[in-house]
Amino acid sequence: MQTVLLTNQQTFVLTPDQDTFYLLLLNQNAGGGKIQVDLSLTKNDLHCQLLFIGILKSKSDWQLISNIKHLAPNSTCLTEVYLSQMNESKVDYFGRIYIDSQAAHTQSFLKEQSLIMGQDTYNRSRPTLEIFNHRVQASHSASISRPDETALFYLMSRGLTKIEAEKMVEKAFFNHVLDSIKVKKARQLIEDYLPC
Amino acid sequence: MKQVSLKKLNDAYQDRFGFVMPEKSVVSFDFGLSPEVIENISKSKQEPTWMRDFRLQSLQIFYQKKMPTWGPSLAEIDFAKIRYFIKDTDVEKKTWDDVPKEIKDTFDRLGVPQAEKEFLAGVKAQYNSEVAYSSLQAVLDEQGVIFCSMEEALRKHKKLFKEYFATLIPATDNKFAALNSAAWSGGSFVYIPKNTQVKRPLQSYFRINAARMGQFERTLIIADEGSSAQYVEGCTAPVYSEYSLHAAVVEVFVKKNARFRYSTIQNWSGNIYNLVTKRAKVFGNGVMEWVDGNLGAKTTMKYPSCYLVEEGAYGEMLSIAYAKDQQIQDTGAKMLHLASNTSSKIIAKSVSVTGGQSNYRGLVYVDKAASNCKSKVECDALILDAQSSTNTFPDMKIFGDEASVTHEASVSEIEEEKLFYLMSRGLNKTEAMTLLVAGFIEPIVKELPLEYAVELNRLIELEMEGSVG
Repeated sequence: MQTVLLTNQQTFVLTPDQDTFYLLLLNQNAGGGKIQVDLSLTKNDLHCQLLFIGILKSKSDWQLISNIKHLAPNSTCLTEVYLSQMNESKVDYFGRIYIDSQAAHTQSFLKEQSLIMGQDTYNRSRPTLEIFNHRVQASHSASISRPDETALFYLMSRGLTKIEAEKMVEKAFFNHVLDSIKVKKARQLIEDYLPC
Repeated sequence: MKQVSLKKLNDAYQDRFGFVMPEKSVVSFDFGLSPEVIENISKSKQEPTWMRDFRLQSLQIFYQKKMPTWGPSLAEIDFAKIRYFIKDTDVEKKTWDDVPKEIKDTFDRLGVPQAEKEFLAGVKAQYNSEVAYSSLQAVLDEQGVIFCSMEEALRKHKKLFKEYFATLIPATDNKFAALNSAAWSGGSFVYIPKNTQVKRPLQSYFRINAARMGQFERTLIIADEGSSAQYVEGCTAPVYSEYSLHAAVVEVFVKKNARFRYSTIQNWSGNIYNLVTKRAKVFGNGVMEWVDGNLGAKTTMKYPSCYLVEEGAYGEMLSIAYAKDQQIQDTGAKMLHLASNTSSKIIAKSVSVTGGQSNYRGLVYVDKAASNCKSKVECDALILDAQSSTNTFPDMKIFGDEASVTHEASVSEIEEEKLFYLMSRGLNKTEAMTLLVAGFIEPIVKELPLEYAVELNRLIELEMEGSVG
């Protein structure tokens, strides 16, 4: 599977002709922006993965769109969005999976997780499914929450301050993502993106 | 193709629910909507001036409001070609013997008197525009429980009625709420006094008999502090070649520590546009549960909601949508967390077969001022053939940083292995699929009173017949 880093653009219109891992790392220093990825799977037996990772700095304002269209049979796609949100950051995510009536035996999954690290954040999530074929498997899941209180309590009971504990939970959140990435080049890019 | 499918659906429905009785109305107005029609509705009900004015203002709002620009097409609806009021009895009857024969026969065939005898605490039977029959167990009457038609409540319980009416769903809410506010007729008024527990369900049954009819019942429910009750509604109509419109408004107030469950088995015929606004306001530690079974109608647009306005309030929605033969079931739920420590759950299951389309459309909103809120949404869809489709449109708006919201949705076909296993045990394909569909919706069906759960399973069996090739 080839790896493609999506960068320096706001809109990406993608029609891959081979299995591809698309990686989009949101600029940690940016005040926000609108990023749209349109990915059309027009060839049979095509397998793609699209991963958004973002540490959204304080007061940043993001609009993220992923639009996955399965137009041919036997294609698979995994879309994942992992975000951590700092103080007063805003994110509006719209994730669409469309499976055409011609796209039998398609598998498409969307997973979005937002970890709320700061105060007064705003998160809007709209993961949608539009399915016009019955020989498919499709699902989406979204979760928006603060770090687990039990985990924080455990770490603080071991001598970490609350800030240190929160940072460690955030690191664990992204490490979990990293562990699931099998593509070496993508792993390296993500490791470079994440704070030490 | 579309016409053939619709005919199939209507034929299956015709025998059990789709029969028609001759029209013998006491009062009815011609087709079309105008201030005169609204004034005449108000006049025929001998309403106070404030209600007549409310209706007329609502009509102006209806004229101003645009049709929804999202969701299924409603372009076919021509408001000038609908009858807005047909009254079939002069007064609401308290015994079935006093009910006009055609109406009594209708409800007999639908099994309402039998259900009343066996397990209900009270019954309202609405025929076209008004409630034709009404009953309530004497013991509940003595406890101060009120279960009457909206018209009777307006006359006998003025203060209570005016305090709550249209405060949760104003006429300005949407075009169909405005239409209902202008033309409302019939529906149930329920008041459960403080700390009163009503063990058996209260039931309303809505029947449209006339062709090109608009039914605009309005239901207002107040569960006072510490009370609990369960309300069940069912609905059917004859099969006509032309459409009819059902645009109801339901307002439920669940006070502190009260618990209310509102269950619906919607089984309108395949020519009905079912466009309903349902909303509950839930106060401190109150519990509101919507249980919604949508099987019938041509197009349904219904998104019951809970406004969780005080700490500890809980809202729940369990829904089943079954879309067959070009039906569109556009259903969902809205949970608005407006206070801290509130929680909600939405579980929606849908089945699409032989060209049906089921859509889940929902909202979870957590206000900035609301901390420590929890919400869980689960949507599962089964799609059984190549002609059908299913869509999921959830929306989660989370202000503030203390909420925990999860959403999961999945779409799949029936697993071949399960089908094979059941067929290897001697079931034919239809029986096996019916059993698997029943298993799929079982978590919601089991929340219904036993009699309704059995009826819902029988309806699913009926719907599945002939839908598997």
